[in-house]
Amino acid sequence: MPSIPALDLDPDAEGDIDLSSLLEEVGILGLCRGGSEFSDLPSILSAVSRLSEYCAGIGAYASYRLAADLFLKLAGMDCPAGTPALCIFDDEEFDLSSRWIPFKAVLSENGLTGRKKSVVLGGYGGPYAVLARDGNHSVLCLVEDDGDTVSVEGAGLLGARVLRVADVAFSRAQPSSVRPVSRDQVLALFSVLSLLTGACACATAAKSLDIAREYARERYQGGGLIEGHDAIKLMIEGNRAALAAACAALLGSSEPFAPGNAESMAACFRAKAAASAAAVNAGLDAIQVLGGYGYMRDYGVEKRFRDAATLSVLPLDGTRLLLIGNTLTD
Amino acid sequence: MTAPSQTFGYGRYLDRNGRTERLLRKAREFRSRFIDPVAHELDREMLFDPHYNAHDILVRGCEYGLMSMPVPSFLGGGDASILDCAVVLEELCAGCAGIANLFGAHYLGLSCVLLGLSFNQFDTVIREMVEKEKRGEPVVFAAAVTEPMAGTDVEDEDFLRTARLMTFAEKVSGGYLLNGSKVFISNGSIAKYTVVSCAAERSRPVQTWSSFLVAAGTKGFSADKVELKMGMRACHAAVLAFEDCFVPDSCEMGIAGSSTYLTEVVLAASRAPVAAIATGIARGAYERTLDYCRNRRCGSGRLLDRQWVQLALADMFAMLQTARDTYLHAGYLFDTGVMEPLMGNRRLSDPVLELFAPLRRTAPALKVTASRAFRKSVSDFVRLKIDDGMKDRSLAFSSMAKFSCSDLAVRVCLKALEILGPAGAEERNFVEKSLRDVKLAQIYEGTNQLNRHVLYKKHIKGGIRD
Repeated sequence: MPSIPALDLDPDAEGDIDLSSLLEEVGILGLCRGGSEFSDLPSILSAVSRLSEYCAGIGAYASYRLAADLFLKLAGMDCPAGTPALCIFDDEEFDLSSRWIPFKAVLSENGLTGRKKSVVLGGYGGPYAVLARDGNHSVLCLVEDDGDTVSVEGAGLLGARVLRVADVAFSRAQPSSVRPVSRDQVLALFSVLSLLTGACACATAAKSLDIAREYARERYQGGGLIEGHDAIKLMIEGNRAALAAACAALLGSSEPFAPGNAESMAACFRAKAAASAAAVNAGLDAIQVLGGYGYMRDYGVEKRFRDAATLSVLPLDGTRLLLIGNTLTD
Repeated sequence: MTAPSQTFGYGRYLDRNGRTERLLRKAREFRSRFIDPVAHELDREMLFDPHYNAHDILVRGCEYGLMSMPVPSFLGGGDASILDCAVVLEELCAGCAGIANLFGAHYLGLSCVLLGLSFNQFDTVIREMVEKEKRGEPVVFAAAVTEPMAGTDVEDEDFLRTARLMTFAEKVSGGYLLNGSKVFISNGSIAKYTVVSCAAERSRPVQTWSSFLVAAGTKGFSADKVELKMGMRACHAAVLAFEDCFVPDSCEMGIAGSSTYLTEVVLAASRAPVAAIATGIARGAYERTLDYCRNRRCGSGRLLDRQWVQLALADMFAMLQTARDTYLHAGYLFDTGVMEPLMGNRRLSDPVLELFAPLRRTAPALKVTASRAFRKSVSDFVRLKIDDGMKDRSLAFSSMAKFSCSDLAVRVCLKALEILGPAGAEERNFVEKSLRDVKLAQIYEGTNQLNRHVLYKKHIKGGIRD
């Protein structure tokens, strides 16, 4: 992936890199077009993993776009202006486990009003695909950024900063398209996002262990190279074992993945919970192997840890996903 | 924000005459006035400009006596024990570990001078620091031990024998020539005085390990490069370079070869405060998580009402209290087992030391206290007063506190990230900063792996009967 730099952007800075074009060049965004379906998830998973070995932020960026494309397809919505930013969370705890309808943004005859939190803009901004309530129904609204009824307030991220998270407020915004959405469709979106972000987190963490291994082969300490120390061996191999198990669980959940099938979706949540823990621990230990150098930006492992930790809670953290999954299969 | 006193207890470790509580009250006030309001902004500022110097905060620290806090009262300082320093650092770290580390790294530099009983430095640089603090002019200290190819190795006498050292002090007429470099030196770029430890001979590093006080601006000494760090950004980590840097004999601390012993004493003192730093960072994450859960709506109630959240908070609380008990015990052990025997009966010694202070500051007296013979006799005195078994036990327990508190603290911060969910990764909620900051506590002052090794070597091994 020589033409794509590993990005760690200032969230407030205007991006001067057209990620969309770069990703188009390598063909990844085409995966969801041309009739790709949920059955293609294993190959999508593999593609974002490869991207994330290079930069997890870019892998996650592609993941959000791919998941948004699949979700829109599932909801039967067409978005000619390009992939929209998904607006899911409101200014209140998101609770898919015990009740439906969970959304607070309201669609009425005056338009769409509400504040969406932690929106992944992904550098492409509007249009926005907003999950809202319309009376007693949940709906998906497609809103163009007209600069008047939509306001965006950026929030910096720990890692995977290319995602560019923001709060997006809608005030009587007029949707160009509205579709009803079911709980299963939203859960399917979370399932796909969980698999993809889990894969990104594991891939970057695995790469950080590779860097740690390389460093251990060169770093002398305690009378020999540190690769010979049991502490180092166990940190590397223990984390590799956990990551391998998590990756197998992610892949197993993606093939076959059946949107709407409770067990299939719960399996995705379990896999993501395992992947999150494995990736974060691996990232922490990779830094530990490098010691002081690991804590500095030069070697890139601190960025990989930050990326993995961020992706461990996107779209949701392991605990919340497990609670949702448990309710599903109850 | 939840009041810390309502949240955690310090138990029996608080000083009976109320000194610790007084210092803690000061630290809380300092945190709320000068750390909490700027912590986030400063962290962001230094992401893009790592050379930015948080000098204003150090000036404010002077108003609160934070610069001279661990200096004995007979030298005009705050007379804080190691336990006191640890408690204060925990409080400051709950606000911002980067800012707290400005003071923590300063105390580490100071402790090299104070614990070695370097009388000539007492009456020169320590006095300068105390006097200038009164005028609101911070005089910052730093300690430089880590080398590019030797981090853990230079913190342990056994490993030092085979360390790949790059920095050496060559004896020349009237002093030493330092050549080489030191890395990751907290406060290195802003310190007026840096205690540099290095070997004189490559083949005999333990026997020739020495410490020198090097003033900023000394010819051949530079500290221009500041590292880009993941966290604790408010405190610079600098690369120090020495090129034929001449240091006079009077700036040698102790005598050649005494420094490995002094390093062990300093580490026995400093690892409990590092454990407190980790605990403080985790406490900051806990306090903010609690606030978030209290204010976050969840259906008809609050996030705090959810059972899983309550259990997670209980886990965090338990880990924090365990961590605090661990570092307090280590600090208490050092204060009572090492510091008290070293300082003797303070009621007798302090008035005498104060009485002779003007005499000590005369040129002939300074010449005597800087002489090798005097430094050797002081070095012997230190070894005589500190029981080796007690020193080892203190080092073992402070090392245990360092690795167990920092490991627990990382778990607390990860728990906080989990409770906040996607919001936890956002800068505005502060938890992500805690996570970035706390990782350093597992690395510096000896990696946690080394600290486990020290606990085994200095304590567990001795209790094993074959």
